Amino acid sequence: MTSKKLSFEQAFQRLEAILERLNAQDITLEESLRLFEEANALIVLCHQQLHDAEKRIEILTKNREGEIEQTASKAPKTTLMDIGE
Amino acid sequence: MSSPIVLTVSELTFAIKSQLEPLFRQIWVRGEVSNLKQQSSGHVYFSLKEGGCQLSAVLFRSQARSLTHPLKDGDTVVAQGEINIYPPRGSYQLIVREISHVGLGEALLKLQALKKKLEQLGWFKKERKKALPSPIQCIGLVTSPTGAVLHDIVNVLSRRIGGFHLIVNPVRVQGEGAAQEIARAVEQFNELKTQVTHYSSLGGERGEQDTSVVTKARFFNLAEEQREVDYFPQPPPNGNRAQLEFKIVDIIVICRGGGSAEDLSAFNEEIVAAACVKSSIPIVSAVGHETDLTITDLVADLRAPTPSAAAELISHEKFQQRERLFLFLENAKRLLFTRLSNCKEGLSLFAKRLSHAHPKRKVETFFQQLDDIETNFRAALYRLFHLRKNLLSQVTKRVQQFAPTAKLAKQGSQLTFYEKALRERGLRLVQQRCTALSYHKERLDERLLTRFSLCKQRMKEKNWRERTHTRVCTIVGKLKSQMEAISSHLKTLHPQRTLERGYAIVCRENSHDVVRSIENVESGDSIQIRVADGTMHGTINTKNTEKLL
Repeated sequence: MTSKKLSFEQAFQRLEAILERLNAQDITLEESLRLFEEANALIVLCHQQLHDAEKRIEILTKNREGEIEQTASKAPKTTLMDIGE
Repeated sequence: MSSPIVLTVSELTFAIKSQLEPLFRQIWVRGEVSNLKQQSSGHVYFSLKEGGCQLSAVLFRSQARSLTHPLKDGDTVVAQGEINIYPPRGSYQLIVREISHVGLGEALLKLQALKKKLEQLGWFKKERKKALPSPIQCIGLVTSPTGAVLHDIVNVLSRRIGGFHLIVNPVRVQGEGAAQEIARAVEQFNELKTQVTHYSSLGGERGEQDTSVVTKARFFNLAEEQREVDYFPQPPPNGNRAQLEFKIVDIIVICRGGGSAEDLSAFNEEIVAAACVKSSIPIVSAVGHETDLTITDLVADLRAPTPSAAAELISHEKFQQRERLFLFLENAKRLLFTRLSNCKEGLSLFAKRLSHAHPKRKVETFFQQLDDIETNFRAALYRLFHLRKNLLSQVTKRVQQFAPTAKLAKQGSQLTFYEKALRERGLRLVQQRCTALSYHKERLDERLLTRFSLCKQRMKEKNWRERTHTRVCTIVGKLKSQMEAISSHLKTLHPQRTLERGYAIVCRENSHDVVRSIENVESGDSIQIRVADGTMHGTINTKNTEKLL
């Protein structure tokens, strides 16, 4: 199971499991290092999904009747809003 | 005819009070404000005038303070309150609980009516309200595109979750037609769909779509992966994967900044409420300040006190996930570090034990033994040396004893010894003689002294004897002459002498009793008469008591 296809909840479950294993007495150093690597990768991935998602603010384009203009494929037309940061 | 009933003033007043007050509770009165008096206590007293009639009214401090527009004389107002009889003055007055200027007042009345109607329709009921979706990927915002509200929301979201997707449906939030626009915006969000043709392999279609859709599609690709797990654990039953459609947003936020009651009036329209109720997308409302409660707030699935609070509410889940991730990382780090430090400790322990077993240790013990041996050896050597030294000194002494100088010295010392002894002896002899001599001298002196003192004593005795002899001779001579005198005297006193002078002594014959009286003899008695030269014996013949002279 690659961590890429995990959902958030699954990722969290996996992280819990890793922590539990890390906490175990009989764990070898090698295993703990490997598990830490995995946990770190998972956390980074989740983090990316959570926060590195593109910050995007769109403003719907309306015609005079107040209806939203749409493209040929029925997607709404929008203008991107500039976020002054 | 019965006499009329006489009431006291208070009886009448309280009778009116009890009759009148219950009749006019919760009444609405329209009139013009006059005689407005603002007391320092904060209470406001005024009259309401209309059609030549007048009604005293009082607005207590707590209500007066919450007025948005201060009252002034001449204002036409609608007041809500109750009629109260004031016995001390025998007057009645309106105690105002709510007051608004006429335009507002009418709106207030309308609003109350609408609230009541919608409540009866069950639009405010809790059971009707939808829960917040999870996860929230795309947020639909119904607000003014130019207001500060949009900025506030963007700021809060950026701070709390970083990445987010916001679709703004720009509307007017106040004035004519605002309500219609808001309602329509809610409908539009519900109508707009995003089509995902092949949610598992989207790449091929990309070329035909315009950029904004591609971006959206990419975004939904991520969301889709999650939906695959969260919403559709199994493929849809009809198997028509290509026809999947999603609402463009997960949640609609209707918001507006603070303003007066008129400013917020669009959010009190039925049309907006209806659109909210119809929406299948959950609605969050954040209109005005916390104290402003609009109908939209009541109808919405979730009411946030302010737009910023709304942003916090919808980002809450992601925020928590972020926190949780952070905690995971911290815990994993901590556990790993503990493990590592344990390993390190174990290693250093091994290193210690290893250093104990190092060959150097063995060499060191040898060195030590060597040192010990050396020390012992030195000690033995020293003892031996000492012994020999003692022996040598003894021998030297003995040899010295036999040396000739020693003999000479010995004889010399003997000589001096003898000399000394002789000298001592001579001295002792002289001393003895001296002692004897002095002894003899002493004895001679003593004897001489004795003799001398004896002679002295004898001389003393001789003198004394001579002096005594002469004194005795004198005394004896004196005594001799005294004796001669006495003896001659005695001679004269001798009875013989008396007899010689002619006196005789008469005694009774054969006795020596001297007859001294005539009475002593009787006639015929024998008598002896003694005279100087002999004795004669006779007998008494007669007696005569005749005195001699």
